[in-house]
Amino acid sequence: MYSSVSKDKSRREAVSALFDEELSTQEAQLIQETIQADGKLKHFHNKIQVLNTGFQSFAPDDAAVKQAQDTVLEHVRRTIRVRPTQIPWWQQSLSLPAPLVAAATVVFVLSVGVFLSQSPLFEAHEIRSASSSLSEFDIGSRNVNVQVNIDSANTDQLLQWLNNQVDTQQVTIQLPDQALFQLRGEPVMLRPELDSESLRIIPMEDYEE
Amino acid sequence: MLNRRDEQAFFNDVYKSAFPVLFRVVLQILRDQETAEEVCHDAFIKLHQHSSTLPDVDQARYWVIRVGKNLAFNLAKRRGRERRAMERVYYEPQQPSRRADQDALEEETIAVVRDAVEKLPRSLRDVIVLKEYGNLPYGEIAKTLGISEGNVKVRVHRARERLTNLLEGVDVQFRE
Repeated sequence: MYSSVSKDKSRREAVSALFDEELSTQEAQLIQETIQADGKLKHFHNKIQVLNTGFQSFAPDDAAVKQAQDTVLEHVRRTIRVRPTQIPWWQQSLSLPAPLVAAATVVFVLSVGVFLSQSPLFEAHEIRSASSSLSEFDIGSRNVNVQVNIDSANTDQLLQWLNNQVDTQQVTIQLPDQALFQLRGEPVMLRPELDSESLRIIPMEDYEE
Repeated sequence: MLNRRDEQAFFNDVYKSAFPVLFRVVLQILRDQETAEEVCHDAFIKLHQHSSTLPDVDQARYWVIRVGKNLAFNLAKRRGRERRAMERVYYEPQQPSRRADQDALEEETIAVVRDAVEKLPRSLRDVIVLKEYGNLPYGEIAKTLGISEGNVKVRVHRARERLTNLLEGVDVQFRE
């Protein structure tokens, strides 16, 4: 019975692949003959056709795509002219040395958001002594730009530190051009629950809400 | 001595190659031309920001299609939440007025199909969207999503099975 179910399943997969023209000539011929002889397979093939008709009926035509392509390109060019991709100098001028600095291969500039409480808000440029440790630095509910020098081998400690900033609502990490490596994709940090101990960096191309 | 590539030419090549696919996918997810153009714009701005990390045109193309697809789905999900919130406030569904003709029936069926796609598990939804909306072959889908071609074939089939089951009992009306 298992082999019969499995055979049926692989035939249905083949019907789907036939529809997408992903079979070899020999395979296509074989499955077409099978479809003609098997009412259930024929029914499934028809259902895929109906579904595909639905998908195609709301697809844009080539002219509409071309027009959109030109419009968006113009918009992209305008945006690139207005919005430089480099980190402005005022975000690179602060320094909070951390004991994890070794080769200083990575520089993160953290722009920390504000926890909406009754705490006073102010923009502060924090400069600490070289002996300050990252773990001792508590952002609290302040709105502050922080530049952290950190060894690339110890980024997990940075994540742990960020996770410990329980009053922090939003963290933006910007990697300056002079960093010796890049983060692939645009990382998005998520905190599913405020009291959760887990913190993840997810590349933008895999991030979905 | 390393040859520095021409980033402008690189971007243009990726844009020309990826835009038609990305736009088709995003438009059919979001169902609105202007919003689809905005999402495509955002995806290509991100490409511009990260292009130096992408080794070649093909990898950049797969990357920007993935990013754009995710941006579109995220926006669609947010809009769904907002619409449901509005419905709760005003105690009636926010639906467009219905015309009693073939066009209306077809539009309704299209909406049902799209809703069904959005209800699929992500692993199946991503594949079927690139196949049916983007018209990509299995090989390209595999490279875009970072899975094997065999996996693509199985997931496309499973997505279709689920969609046809979901639409079972719905009076599907499409023009011949």
